[in-house]
Amino acid sequence: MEKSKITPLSAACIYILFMLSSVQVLNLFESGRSDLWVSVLISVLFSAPTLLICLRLCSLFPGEDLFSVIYKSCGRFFGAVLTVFYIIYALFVTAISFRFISEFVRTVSFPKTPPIVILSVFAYLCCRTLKYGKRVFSRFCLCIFPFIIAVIFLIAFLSADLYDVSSFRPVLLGDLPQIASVGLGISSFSFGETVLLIGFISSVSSSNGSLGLAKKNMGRVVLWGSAVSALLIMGIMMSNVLILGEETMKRMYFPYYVAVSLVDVDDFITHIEVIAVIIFILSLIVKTGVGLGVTAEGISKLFRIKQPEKILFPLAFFIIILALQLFYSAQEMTLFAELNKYIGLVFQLPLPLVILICAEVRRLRREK
Amino acid sequence: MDEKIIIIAVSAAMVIFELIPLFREKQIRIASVYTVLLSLGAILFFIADSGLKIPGINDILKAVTERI
Repeated sequence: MEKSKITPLSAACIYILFMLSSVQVLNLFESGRSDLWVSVLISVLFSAPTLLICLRLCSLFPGEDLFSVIYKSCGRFFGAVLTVFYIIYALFVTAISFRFISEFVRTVSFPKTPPIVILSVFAYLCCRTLKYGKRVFSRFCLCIFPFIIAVIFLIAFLSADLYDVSSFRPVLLGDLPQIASVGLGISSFSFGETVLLIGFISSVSSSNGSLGLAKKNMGRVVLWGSAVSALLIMGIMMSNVLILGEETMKRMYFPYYVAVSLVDVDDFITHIEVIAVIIFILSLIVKTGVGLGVTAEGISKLFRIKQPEKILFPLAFFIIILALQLFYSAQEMTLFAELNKYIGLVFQLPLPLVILICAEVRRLRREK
Repeated sequence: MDEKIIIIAVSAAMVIFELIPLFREKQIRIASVYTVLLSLGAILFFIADSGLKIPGINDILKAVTERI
């Protein structure tokens, strides 16, 4: 899994799908406000330092994954400690994403199916895809990306006559701390997790495979990926508010699904929420796959295993069990999301900053 | 179907089709990590299933959230 190279285009697709996955359908922050677009902008601002730190680390260690960067910049002992922290973080991020899939599938269509069955099916799919390497996984993302984007635009186009512009007003009347809190939530579930993503797509190479160009490619992937995903998240959230209205949206666990289910074009095109389910699950598979891959890489780095793909299945097994214990129902998801804002922040800003400082100190020493 | 049966079946399949071949190929390091992860998963499941109230992750998170 380590040596496989990903093209910049595939890396950008993985990046955007990763960002879109959780915030796309779930209403995690009771955020049915007309100021949602401001929250998305604030989330980009919040995550800007994280993105810049990640880019700097990528330019200092081109072509290296997150855990190699940690070891090279922080040394053997401190590197191992930080690696353990990031493995735990990656485990939780993956477990949460798995649980989102199972809760969504159970709430929407299979209420009596035990979550473990749903989780096992998706975990098996992720493991099989990752077993053949990052390249196969990135091609999978490249294949599904145009479909997902096309569906998002198609749904926005078909639901245009349902838009109630009055739900968009009044703009900016909400209190700023609450808007910022929603922004922090969006950031923690999407842009902030770039730290983990660089562990996966850091092996981005140029077309001729040289690492010199990898720096430039990584910068492009992160900047363009963030801009496109911010626009898409903003579009999806605003269309939810415009279709459902502030009050209805606050009460929904899956507002995008409900909003799409209302689309009815002259009784000719109806029930297109099925497509929304497909795109949501596909994008969450990308996130869980990335999380699983990063965790496997972390564990293999910690225990000096050369083939991380060999531990994918027991790791997925452990993550499934962990996912089952995280929360007991869809209601508790909101509570969990609220907490993730603060826990995630520790791994998204202070720890990357420590790694960057260590890396810069080492670089300065080497130059002297 | 009972969740316990699924867990036991999956673990058994993993031991037979992956763990034993790893030991046979003398890839001891990978096999050890494999065993640890598998055991941790199984232990976590059976602790949760037995209803033992070592404050679960969920309870800890709830308590922390209420404080925040």
